[in-house]
Amino acid sequence: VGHLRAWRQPPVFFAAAYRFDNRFVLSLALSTLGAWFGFKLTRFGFQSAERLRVSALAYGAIVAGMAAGLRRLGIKPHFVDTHLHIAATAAFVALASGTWQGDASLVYQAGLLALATASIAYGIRHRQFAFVAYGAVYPYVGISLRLHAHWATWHAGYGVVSASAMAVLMVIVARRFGRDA
Amino acid sequence: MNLYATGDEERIHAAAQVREWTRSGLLDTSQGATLEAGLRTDLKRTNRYLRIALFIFGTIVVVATVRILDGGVRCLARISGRVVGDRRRVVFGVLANSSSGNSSSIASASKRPSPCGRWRCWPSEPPSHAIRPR
Repeated sequence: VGHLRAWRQPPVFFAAAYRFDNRFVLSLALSTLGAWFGFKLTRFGFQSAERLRVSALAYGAIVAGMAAGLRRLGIKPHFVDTHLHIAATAAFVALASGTWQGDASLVYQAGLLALATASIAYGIRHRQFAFVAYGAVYPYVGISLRLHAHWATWHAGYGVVSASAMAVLMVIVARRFGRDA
Repeated sequence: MNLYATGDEERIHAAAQVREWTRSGLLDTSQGATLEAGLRTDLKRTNRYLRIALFIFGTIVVVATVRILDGGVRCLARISGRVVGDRRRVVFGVLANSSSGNSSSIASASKRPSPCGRWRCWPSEPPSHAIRPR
């Protein structure tokens, strides 16, 4: 497997994951697909952070589209969450990293908040706390990075108050998701 | 010291074993469901993602609190150093005045800047200009 060329790995892993019904191999296939995205960019000289963010957003959209297709067609419904976790992680990291620098930081900030809203709504609707956590943690990181980029020094009081408030909020929300012991 | 009742903990442990036996085929599904129904508790189990999120925010709170405490201790040390420095300056000024008989040396000694900087106290040995009679 290690000797396969980069563009051949994702199809092989996808085929193996669907044939043997293995989510670990599926996550490997999705990871190699993401690596192929990055490889294609560097090959053509697109190495800037902005291009990588756009590429990560495109990758997240494609993987989320695959998840929607699987759900609609009723194929391997237990694979849907794996796709969505990876798509959400790629998109959230790309958006959060763009909130504190560059000309388009406000656009990334707005996109981050919009994606967080969608993620929290999906998590509450499908009772998946992980997506609620994504929707809370990533915007917190993005907003904090943006604030600290404007402040000259790191304000420890902000860290105590905001992180305590987030922890309390998470506990309150998580009480809806708790399963019987 | 236990936060939860012993009976609840025993029921949770037994329910986990029933689920394991059902998964491994020792019990069929209906038997497992019947047994589990009798082992219910009012407790809720926390989510793994909640624990991860709490760990992240808890780490931020701890790091920020340590920084605040560290800053407070440094500030207190500076303030206490300034107070000690002022007191020593006055004492040494009085000593200098009594040995030389010059009343204006009290004020001049107490107004003299600290050799270690504005916020530092005097070094362990008193400065030579404060005790030397004029």
